[in-house]
Amino acid sequence: MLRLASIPVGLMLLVLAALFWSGSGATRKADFSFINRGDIITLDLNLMSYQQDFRLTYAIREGLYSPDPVTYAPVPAGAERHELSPDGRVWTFHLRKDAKWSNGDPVTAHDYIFSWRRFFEEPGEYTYLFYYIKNAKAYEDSYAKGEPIDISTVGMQAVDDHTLRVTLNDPVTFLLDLVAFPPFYPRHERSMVPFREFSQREIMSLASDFLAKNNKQIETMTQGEILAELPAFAAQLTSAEAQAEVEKMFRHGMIKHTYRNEYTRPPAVVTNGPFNLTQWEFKRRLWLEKSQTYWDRDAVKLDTVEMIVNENVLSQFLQYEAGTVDWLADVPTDLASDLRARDRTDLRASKAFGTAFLTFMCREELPRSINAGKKNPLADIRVRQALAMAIDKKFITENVTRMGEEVATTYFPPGTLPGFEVLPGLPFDIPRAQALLAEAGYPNGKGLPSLPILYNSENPIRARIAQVLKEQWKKNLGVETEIQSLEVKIYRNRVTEKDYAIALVAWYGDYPDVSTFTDKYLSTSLQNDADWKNAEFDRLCDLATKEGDAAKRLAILQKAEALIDTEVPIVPLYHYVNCSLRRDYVKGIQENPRNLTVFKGVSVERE
Amino acid sequence: MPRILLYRLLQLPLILAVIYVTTFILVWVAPGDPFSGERAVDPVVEQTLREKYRAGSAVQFLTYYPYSILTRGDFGPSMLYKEWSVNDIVKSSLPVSIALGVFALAIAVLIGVGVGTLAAVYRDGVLDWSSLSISLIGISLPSFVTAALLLLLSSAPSMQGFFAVGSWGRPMDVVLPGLALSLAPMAYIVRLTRASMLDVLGSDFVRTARAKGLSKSVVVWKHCLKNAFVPVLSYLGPAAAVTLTGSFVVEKVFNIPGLGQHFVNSVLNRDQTLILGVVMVYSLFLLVFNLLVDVAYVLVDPRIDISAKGT
Repeated sequence: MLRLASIPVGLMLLVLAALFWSGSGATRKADFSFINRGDIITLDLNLMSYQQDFRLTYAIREGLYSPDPVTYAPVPAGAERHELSPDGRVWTFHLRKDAKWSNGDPVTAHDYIFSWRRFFEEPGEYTYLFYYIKNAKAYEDSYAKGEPIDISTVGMQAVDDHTLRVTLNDPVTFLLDLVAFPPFYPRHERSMVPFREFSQREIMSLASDFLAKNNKQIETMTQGEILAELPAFAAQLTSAEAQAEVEKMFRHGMIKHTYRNEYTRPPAVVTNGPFNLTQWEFKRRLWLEKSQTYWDRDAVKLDTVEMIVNENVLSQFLQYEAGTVDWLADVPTDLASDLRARDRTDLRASKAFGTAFLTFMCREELPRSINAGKKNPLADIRVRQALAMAIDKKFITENVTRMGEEVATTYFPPGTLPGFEVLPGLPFDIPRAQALLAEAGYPNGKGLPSLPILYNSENPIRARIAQVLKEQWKKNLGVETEIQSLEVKIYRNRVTEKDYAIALVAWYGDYPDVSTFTDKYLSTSLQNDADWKNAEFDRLCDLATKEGDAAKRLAILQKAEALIDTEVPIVPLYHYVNCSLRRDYVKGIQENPRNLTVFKGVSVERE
Repeated sequence: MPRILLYRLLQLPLILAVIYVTTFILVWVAPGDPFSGERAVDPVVEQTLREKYRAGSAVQFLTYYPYSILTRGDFGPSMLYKEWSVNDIVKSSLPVSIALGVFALAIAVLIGVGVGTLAAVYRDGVLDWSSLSISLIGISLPSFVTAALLLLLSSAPSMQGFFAVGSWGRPMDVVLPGLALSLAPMAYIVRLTRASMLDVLGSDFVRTARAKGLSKSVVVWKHCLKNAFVPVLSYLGPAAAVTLTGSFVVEKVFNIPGLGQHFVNSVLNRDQTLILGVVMVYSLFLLVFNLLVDVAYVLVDPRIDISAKGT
């Protein structure tokens, strides 16, 4: 009987053990806890592109300029001030002498150059933003070929430790907005060195042995320090081939290497922002503590900030309701519209720097997977305009999205950029749409092949929008379409490879300028998934790039924008609204189109 | 017995190798790209990333990763979560899933076997019928329903402070997700135990034991249960592998940092290295638990010979 009883008792013990083992992570409450848009994908500046990654980066790093805590316009941060040459092409930034890394090292002009150079040697999604810098593209291309041009010819020079001179190809009126954007932030090379991986492993391991003999450790040396040792190293090599190789490395200043991304994780990570990332538990939380080395530490109001990882909408909301978190940075439309209907005052909704639209394939022929080789009716501007004018967008915002979104007739979201006005786009006009369709040779949709509307299946809103479009086009124009939902990865492939006819997409601007929208539809742009090519549009955009006067430039871009809105390679549906839930005791977070958060100015004032 | 055990252990790496290669082929030919983001990127950028992750070609992948796994036990970096290696991810999430799984399994077995036995003994009684209906519900209700119901229950005002929602770290945090996870296996075990118990209760040795003057409870709990437990045991092998490696749904609903979420998410993200990592962990669990079940058969019922062919 005793043996028999031991089984349930053993099981009970197992249960208790499981309870205690799982409860090892004791937690304390931070001054301020929030849930980000999603989990962090990466904090490596080269690789990041998601909003949640940028949001955290604004808390832990800082650029020459950074968004102001109240206005979100770029204000001096790592730099105290700048000077601009009369032609608008040479920017001289004077760095703040009291700017320090979290390990106490001063932040120098070399740290900026090191960080920017990484974008040319290991190109990332945002490398193209650096192409405004003189010779940046040339350096990137030549480096990829293994014969880099002299790095000093690239338009970024450290005049001294605290002066950075940036030379541009064209006057870029919004450069301060760019340098306030995380890809332009500096990095601390020496703290990254332990994670460096050389491409030419054999030669570098010989170099390591050689340096060890001279009491130097390659694992602690920066690229510049290793380069300085290369001639001596080459001299003692016996193989002529290896010698030539090392001499080439020295000549080009090029030791090909990459960094394992662990360099961005505590305790190794060294940053220069108002907060330090001190703890990162995968899929659980990230813990930030006020930096004691930050130059403006007196302005930082919070001591600790916790980003809780929770990717489930219901459980996020319950955590907010229970008071575990003070802020849900991003509430999905579904939940937000329900809360809005209940008049929740802590639901914050504001105009976003983004537009939901549908994109048409503008090529002459239909793509591979849809009726290959057949004539594409969407290449006809009249068909596109007819389809665009037959959509009752108000119906979509009132019945599907329900967040009080503004109906869109333009691609660029109006009222999100001071000084820039958009011209009205195409109206909702069924008779005109029918007439245009008949004129194009498809009266009442006759003769028009049934085209698929593509959308990604994980987005419930898009599924409903696709249904509305299908129904409205059928009712208003007699046009038949099909609805096709695809898993997100496959959907993205189809869109970027231009293998679709109609697709539901969206665009958010990265930096506060019109070009972050208009550049997408340049005929040379990688992002031009409509394959819409318009010489006049290209010409206007190019003209704008060369224009040094900000107001004149915006006037040119207004014309370019109007071309998109009337030739409709895309049909704007509505402008997004940023939705978040925030307790009233959280101060210092203002709603803003780009949904930026400047943690430096955030405080919690519980009564 | 020891010989067959050794033989099965030697088979293990071979089976794992076959699983690795098969999974790799599926992962490699599947449409979609681990490095595609929300925007189109320059081919140079994509190639840079592929090289960094040694996934420029199938050959490059297969010459690097299996070697790294065999020599260093390193499954490489995750292709989505750039800062984390597959080993990091498994190390941080597997213990969570195991803790949760052990809790759920223990509850399932304790209650499942107990109720199943009683239902068989008091056949057609109130307990039998109610256990039948409840276990029917347990089997048919999908876990995303039961988990969500439990989550809502826990956030009810009267429960405030007792169960924390969406957090993980305190011993109490395991209770609700553990219950949600245990319902399905529990219901199944009730049915299994009841059915096999009924068989055993009608057999000759039971009557003999009772005639010998042994009390009913001793006969039921000691003699019968041992025999009736064999079908439950065969079910427990795969069930343990499934439960201990985590459930996507329960982890998702309760926001638990376990391994289960990665089974689905890694595939959706085409995170090739992570897919291979979690598949190998799961396979290892499945193989080991099946082996353990075979060993346990012999311990429970010495008449079973696992080395015999065709059984």
